[in-house]
Amino acid sequence: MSQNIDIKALSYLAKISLDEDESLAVQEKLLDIKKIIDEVANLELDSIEPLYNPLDREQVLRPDEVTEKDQSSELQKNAPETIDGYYVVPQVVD
Amino acid sequence: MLHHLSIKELITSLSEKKLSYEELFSYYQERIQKFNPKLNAFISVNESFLDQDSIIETKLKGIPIAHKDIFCMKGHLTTCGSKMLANFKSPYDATIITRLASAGALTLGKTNMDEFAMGSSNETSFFGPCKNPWDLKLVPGGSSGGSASAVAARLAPIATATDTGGSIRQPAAFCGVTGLKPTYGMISRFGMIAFASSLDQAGFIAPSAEDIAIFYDLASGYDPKDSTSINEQVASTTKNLDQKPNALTIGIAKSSLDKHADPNILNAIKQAVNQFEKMGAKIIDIDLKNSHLNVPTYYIIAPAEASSNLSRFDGVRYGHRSEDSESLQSLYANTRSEGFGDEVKRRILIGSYVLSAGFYDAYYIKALRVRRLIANDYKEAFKKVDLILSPTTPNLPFAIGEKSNDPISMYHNDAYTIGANLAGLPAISFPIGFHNGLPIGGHFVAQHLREDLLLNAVNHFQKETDFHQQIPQEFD
Repeated sequence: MSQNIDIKALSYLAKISLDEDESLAVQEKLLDIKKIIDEVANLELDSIEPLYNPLDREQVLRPDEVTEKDQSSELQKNAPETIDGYYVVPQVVD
Repeated sequence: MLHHLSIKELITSLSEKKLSYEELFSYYQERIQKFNPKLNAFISVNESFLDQDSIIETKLKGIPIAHKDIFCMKGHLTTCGSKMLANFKSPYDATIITRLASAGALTLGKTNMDEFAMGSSNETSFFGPCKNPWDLKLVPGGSSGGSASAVAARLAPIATATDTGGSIRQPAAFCGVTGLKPTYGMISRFGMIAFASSLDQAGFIAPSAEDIAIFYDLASGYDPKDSTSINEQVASTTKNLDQKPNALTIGIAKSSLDKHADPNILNAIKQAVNQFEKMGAKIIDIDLKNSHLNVPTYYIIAPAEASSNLSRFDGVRYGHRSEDSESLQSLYANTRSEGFGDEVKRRILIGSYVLSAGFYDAYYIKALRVRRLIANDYKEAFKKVDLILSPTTPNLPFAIGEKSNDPISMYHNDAYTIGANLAGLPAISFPIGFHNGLPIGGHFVAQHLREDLLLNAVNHFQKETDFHQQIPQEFD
């Protein structure tokens, strides 16, 4: 496996801003972790099926029905900023 | 000395009206007020509870409980040990909270934990490290450090906890108490803030297996709100708790992990083996040949799932929001940079790495293939044995600060416990001895849905030993 980790690209994917010092510190730690996980990456295992659910069971879905109505104002109490039931974010379209 | 009574004894006293639930609740509240400043085991404390006229009709009759601060509790702070949720008041209750409240449990408060349950020492909590009551310079383990510390110091008779790679069992071992991680899917994850959804499981920490069995039977069972909840009837753990087990066969894995384990812990395991043999168990060697891959496999799957689960913390709908944001992108990135601690950031970044284009098959899918090999090893072993015994941790509790800058060494602390999460198996840690005044935990894994066997075996061990009844002197 490649020995490098592109911290800038990763920080963009993870949506976590890192300054230069943090990037360097994180890079060092991530390379240490990479050494551990590369033990798995280097195995030849194509004949083994991946195990997603540890009990190998299908996920059971319930019918898509509304069970508790009119919760929006209660749920929005935790929002940093709302107007008329909408969540407010920085402008995205001019 | 109410804190010396077991939950069964407390229920009897409450039923016979020798004790009122108000009196019991105040007793524990006073203990929390007196001792929590030394331990930092609680993030928030419940000053009062809703008076319930009918509480005496319930099964638990007003037994107090502490909840790990990962469980959503309506109208209460639910912080998950993070700055991100430092002011979050949940609009709903987790299923485990609803079930226990309707069975008559009263909440004392919410316990400290590693941030988003990521850690093995409770040092990553935004609310400061929790201390080990056996030695205040030492960590209580993690991530359910607050629950284990609170129970060990008897600030609560029992506490809820969660376990993704050992987060119930490792702190239980470090604090000299008993901790059960049930089969994946046996206790609803609804309302439990997600870390790694295919590994997370809720459970309990209490002094004894008997205490846990009473609460486990009430909390477990099918919940349509959790799509991985198991919909099967299983044996009651309390009903068969005292029944003498049929001759148990206990497997001991020849493990490369033992090479790195503290010899005093291995010695305590030998003594526990002698005790189980005396009680009629047969001991055989088994081989979990892929166990050396537990840690690397876990540190791919858990961060991958975490990076996905924690994408919900974006500063828009709830939680911390950065003041410094000119665009939507910078709102997300600055909010998450300010709101998450270092360990959580590391795991999200590693998760993003193993899931990114070009690496997904090489890391994530491959780890899931290894996961099947690990699960198959257990399946083979359980053809020959009822339970698998090992230490819970390779070392005794370590000092606060000792490993906080060395995540790799911290990760290896969970080497014995991770296998049960990867395979979804039930497991328990229970006190098996002391070295230099510090507790040592033994660890059993059983087949899926055999919590009854785990609790029965540990209950019988605890009838013959008194390690689980020891209370740190300073807190007795």
